Amino acid sequence: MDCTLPPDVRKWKESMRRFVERELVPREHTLPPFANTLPEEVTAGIVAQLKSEGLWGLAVPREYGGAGLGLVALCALREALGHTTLWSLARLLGTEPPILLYDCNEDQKRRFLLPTLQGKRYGCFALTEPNAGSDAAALKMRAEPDGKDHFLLSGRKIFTSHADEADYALVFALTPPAGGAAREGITLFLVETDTPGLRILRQLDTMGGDRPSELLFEDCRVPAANIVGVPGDAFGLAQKWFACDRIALQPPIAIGAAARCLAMARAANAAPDAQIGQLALRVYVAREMLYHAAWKADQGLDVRHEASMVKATATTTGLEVVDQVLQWFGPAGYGRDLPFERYYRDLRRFTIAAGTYEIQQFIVARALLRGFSPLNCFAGAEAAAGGRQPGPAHT
Amino acid sequence: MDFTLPASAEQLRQAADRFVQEALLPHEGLLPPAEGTLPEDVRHRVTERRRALGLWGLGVPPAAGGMGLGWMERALVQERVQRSLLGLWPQGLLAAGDPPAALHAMRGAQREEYLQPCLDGRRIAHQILLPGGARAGGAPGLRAMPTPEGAVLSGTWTAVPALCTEDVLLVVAEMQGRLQGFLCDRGLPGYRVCRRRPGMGSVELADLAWEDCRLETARILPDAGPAALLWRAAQRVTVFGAGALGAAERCLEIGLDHIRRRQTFGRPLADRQAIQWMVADSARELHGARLLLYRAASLADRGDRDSAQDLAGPAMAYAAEAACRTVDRVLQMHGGYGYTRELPIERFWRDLRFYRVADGSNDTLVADAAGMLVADLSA
Ligand SMILES: Cc1cc2nc3c(=O)[nH]c(=O)nc-3n(C[C@H](O)[C@H](O)[C@H](O)COP(=O)(O)OP(=O)(O)OC[C@H]3O[C@@H](n4cnc5c(N)ncnc54)[C@H](O)[C@@H]3O)c2cc1C
Repeated sequence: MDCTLPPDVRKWKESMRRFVERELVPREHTLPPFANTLPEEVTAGIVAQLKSEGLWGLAVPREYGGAGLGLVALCALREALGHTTLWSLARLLGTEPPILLYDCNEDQKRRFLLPTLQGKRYGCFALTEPNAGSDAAALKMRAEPDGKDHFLLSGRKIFTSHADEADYALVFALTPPAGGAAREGITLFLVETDTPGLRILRQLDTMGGDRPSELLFEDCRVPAANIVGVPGDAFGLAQKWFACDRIALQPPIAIGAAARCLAMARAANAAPDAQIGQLALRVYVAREMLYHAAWKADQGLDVRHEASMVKATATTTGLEVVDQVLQWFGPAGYGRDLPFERYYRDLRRFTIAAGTYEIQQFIVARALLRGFSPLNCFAGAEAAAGGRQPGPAHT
Repeated sequence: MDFTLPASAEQLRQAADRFVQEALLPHEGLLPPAEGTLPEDVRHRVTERRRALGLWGLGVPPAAGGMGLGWMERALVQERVQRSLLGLWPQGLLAAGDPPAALHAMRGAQREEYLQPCLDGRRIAHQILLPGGARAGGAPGLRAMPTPEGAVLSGTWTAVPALCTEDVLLVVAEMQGRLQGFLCDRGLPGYRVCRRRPGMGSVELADLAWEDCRLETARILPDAGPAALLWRAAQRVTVFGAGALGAAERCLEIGLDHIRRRQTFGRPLADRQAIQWMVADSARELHGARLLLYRAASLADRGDRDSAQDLAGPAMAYAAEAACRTVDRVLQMHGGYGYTRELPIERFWRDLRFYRVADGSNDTLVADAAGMLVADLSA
């Protein structure tokens, strides 16, 4: 057993940490308090620099022009990125196409995946609806056939992050014949955001930088050629996305942010080592859980339960650490000169978005009650545990 | 990076499970219900059975007749063995045949007197490491001074687990600026247990006194320091850390079984979210504890002893606390029955509580590691 990062990943992570210190931390004060965008040319400049330093697309598979370092590397880079409040700028690492795009057919890959990997096009993920959040399988968006080659989408999506900047959306909709089990009949469409019949109703202002949108679809005509995978069978795809996303999206950021706050607290002598040590130990544990799950995913193993354990642990721990460090710094910690308040506001969404904390807890408990032990989930112990069953229908 | 268990894992698990099934579980009923441990003759039988099963000398190098297991392998064994109340450290049933590493290098007469009898199971050795200087509250602690014949020890030390003092106690303390080992056994003039203090569970504590206690050189291990520190770290990770984890996992299984069957208001407890969250919290904490322990163990096995030693204290602390929280939740799931001595849970609760103060209190270990943890997280 070797629980340490591979040497090349460690090297890239160190480069990313240096990049963050040199290029991003000095720009933190320019981030508008209630947005996560910088002027277009600034972001483009950062991306160009990341590319020139080889820090772009590291986790992207080789066949698509990336370095193929996998989820472990993505987590390592994002952990380093968490050391700045600018982590929430979109598109920084070139690794953010929803991994569902890897399930596209060749034509779709050419139109959506490749340009996204090159940073030329940008997608958003529209699953949640006003009446279907945690219980995502209860979604109501309909897609009716229109002629042989098209579907008409109608309904509402809400909390779609980055919809305002996106060129296309991944939209989950019900395709007839409806009925049958709840998760059957859900189909994934790639929808160009300039398609007539689709519009942004409003952006939801939040306490953090994210401003997700509410989308209205009125007879929005989408070619059948834009269906990803098998029609009616998209929920399995969504679950696959959740597992990787729950590992790589928020937890590494929460851990990097917590690490930075604790380092600042210790440098400023803001609290006794007994208290700093307790929190640091919990962050350390969350990080072990993160890389174990990422490594397992890279081996092609089922990580649904681990993903939920990682997400529930890392996001709550990160938030608690930021909150505590802010408290230790007193009024100064509450102010904008220090990064804590920004972290606090941005990290607060982690226990809601992409599957709430409560749902992760439920998934973990149910796994144990059904007799799988996510506890002894080590290669070598797997066979004894007797395989796994499909995961839950929850975002 | 590779989280695959060592090739020997399955075989070790089977051997440990067999020991638990055949030698520990049948004797659990003989444990005195309130405090104390098994009668001497039963302890002897259990030890012989263990030796017959080949679980002997886990940490002893093959050259000295042991299994020479790495930390990871020892952790795996402890996880399984401590699923039984009798496998818990306070019962002392795994100490025979596994003397502290500082003894492994003994040669000649010293080997005949101490190491060989320990390897044969005729004697049992334990190790305590005493920090230098006065203790909290101004208690004098132990002083070791060199003499032409060897050394003289004087002072006191309080609250040592009594089971460590039954036969050979390797006291590791500073003399002349370096850690040295002093072999104190029953009958050594000037060394005695001056007070016994019962604990809340199986652990009884003893206060030790040295009064002008003169040791000849044959009782001194001047180079014991590094081996003693490494041994302590290994014990933290395997015996206390992985052991607590195994015990808590067993309790969680008992709890899962109970909440599936126990009905209230017409539905099983397992349907209740308040109960489910106890399960989820326990699962996450035990999973995290295991990963931390395995990290420390695999670092040691791969030769990075410094890092392993640094991580051993906080890893043990996290695991012991996660285990205690888990057992407490399982007790709660059982309601009134959990509190009674008819179920093993309250005994696990009381005995595992010791793991959090056993070897340096958790708070101190974590505070001491704060700098290392924060630096490592910042890397
Ligand atoms: C900033 C932000 C960005 C987002 N980005 C996206 C995006 O890009 N794409 C997208 O599709 N969605 C996105 N979401 C939506 C997010 O995934 C949902 O908000 C989330 O899944 C919860 O759904 P809900 O808001 O409908 O709350 P509900 O499902 O109504 O839940 C309300 C509360 O009840 C709890 N709850 C629900 N069911 C249970 C249960 N069985 N047991 C116990 N408690 C329960 C929940 O945990 C929560 O605390 C985003 C949300 C936010 C806040």
